[in-house]
Amino acid sequence: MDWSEGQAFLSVEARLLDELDLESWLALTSEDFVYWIPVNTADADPRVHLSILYEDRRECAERIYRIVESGLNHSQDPPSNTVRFVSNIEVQSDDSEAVLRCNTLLYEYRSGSSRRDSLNVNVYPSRCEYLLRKSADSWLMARKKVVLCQLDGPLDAMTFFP
Amino acid sequence: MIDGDQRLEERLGDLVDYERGRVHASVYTDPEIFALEMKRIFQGGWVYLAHGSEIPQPGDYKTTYMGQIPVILTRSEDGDIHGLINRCVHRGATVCQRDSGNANYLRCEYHGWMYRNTGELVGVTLRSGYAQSEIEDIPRQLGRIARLDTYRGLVFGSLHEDVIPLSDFLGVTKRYIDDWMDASPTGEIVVTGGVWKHRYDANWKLGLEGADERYHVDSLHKVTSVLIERKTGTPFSWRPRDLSTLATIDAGHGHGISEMQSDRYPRPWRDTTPKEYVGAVIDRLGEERTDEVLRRWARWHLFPNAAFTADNIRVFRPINPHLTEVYQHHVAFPDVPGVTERINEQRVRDHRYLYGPAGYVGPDDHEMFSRMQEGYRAMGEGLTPWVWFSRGSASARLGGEGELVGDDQSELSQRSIYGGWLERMRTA
Repeated sequence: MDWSEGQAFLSVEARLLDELDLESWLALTSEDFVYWIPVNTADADPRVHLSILYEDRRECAERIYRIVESGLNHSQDPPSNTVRFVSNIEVQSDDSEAVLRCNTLLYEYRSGSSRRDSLNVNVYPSRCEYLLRKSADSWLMARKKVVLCQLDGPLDAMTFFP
Repeated sequence: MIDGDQRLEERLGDLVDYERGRVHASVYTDPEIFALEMKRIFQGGWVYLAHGSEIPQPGDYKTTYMGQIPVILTRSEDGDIHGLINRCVHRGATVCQRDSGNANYLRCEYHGWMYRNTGELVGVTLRSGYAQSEIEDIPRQLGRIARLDTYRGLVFGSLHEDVIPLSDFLGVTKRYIDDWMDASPTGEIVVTGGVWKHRYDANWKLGLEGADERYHVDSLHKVTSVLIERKTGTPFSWRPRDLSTLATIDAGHGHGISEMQSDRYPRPWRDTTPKEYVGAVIDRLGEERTDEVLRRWARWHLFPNAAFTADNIRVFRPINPHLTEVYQHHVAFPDVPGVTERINEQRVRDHRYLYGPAGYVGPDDHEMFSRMQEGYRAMGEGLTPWVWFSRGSASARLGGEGELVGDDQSELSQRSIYGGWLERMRTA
């Protein structure tokens, strides 16, 4: 994977998340995919320390069900709009694996009266690391780690697909 | 001359009708009421501060709040815990900036005044430049939390000297604290596995109300049972057929409890709990007590600022009438090789799944709190200002230690808050 392929992959991923095309997003993940968003500190062992997200593919699919189908994601009623900017991309790759590093700036806007005292916009800058694996003729995410700038909180609900 | 506090004091009985379970919405919104709460509730009696495992070593400290008052808990060389006010005696800056750390001396970074971690002032920058008369009225010691006491490692403080003993204050909740601690293979817990920090756009009391309410679970948290149904293919409700083992309790002094026994769920606890862990608990407690401890699943809040359940402790910090910060600490068992690995991983998984910013339960609770706070603005002529906690009060029965016990979906454990609220708000 060269740099421009890496950039293209990250742009597509961001667009699928922002457009809530989450089934297509899930199709970009491998069977052993793990999505990790640590809390408090970037590198504590997620098996014994809390994480905002530490989910395998099946759990991500459940989350997608909650967001898209369940009608029971109350803290997303009405749902958020998100826009993600991806930059500072670095690509390290051989024929079968690629490590992508980038910074992501996520804007989340949620309308509705219940948070009237705030502007309803959350900004989540993060440093991200992806492990991609070549599968047939496409690249799949095996691991995605997002280290939020504000990982030590306080944090608002992140029940959109982060 | 009647001052504002006295005028407000005379209205307390109109604002909160404990017997009927009726609370006036201004109790959640009025800045004057909030100010009196900070004085009489958060400075007038016991407040939860920490668990001892957060500051295990000499020199360890953590910062927290008693209402809006920044405080520091330190552990000195001799192992004692000290409760200090996080305010330099000179010009008032906080002397401790981080959530936690280790330091034998606390230094105010403004003018460099230095304190031992017991609070004693040991260094004044350019001391010789002070005439005696200029410095003699300045305290030689950081302010102290007047009373500090612990129950099974849980640390409580009071800024007011004259309070009932902690043991009496906790009352019947001690039984639940005991069971919770005894579920650990060592009889102890550790509170170092991470903290969710949230802010919700609503009054501090709503966090307490939500902490142990069962009435909303099948409606607001329906997604959790739907996901179980999707996995198992059979209908599931958090409200079992046999309701006899469930109770909601007004434990007095503002504390509330909801209790259930986990046998009713699709798989009994013995099937879902790692065997090496259960074995270790049996070794310590025996079969009978182990069964009692591991079957019971309780959630409770301790008035005015903490809530407890299996794998977490929530601490509420009122910022203003409409904004509250929550520190939700993970609770694990101390590492015992070969015993606690799987159970501790399970606890982290459960805690992450339910709470946290992306959890399946916590964010929906916070969403409701902010919707309620919005509704409380609807006050005016011809509009109903009342918020109701009447459910189950008519059928409540008296328990063995003076507690009031209701069925599984009563609002007794919410109404309890307003019993404690009146008690403290009426004590000048």
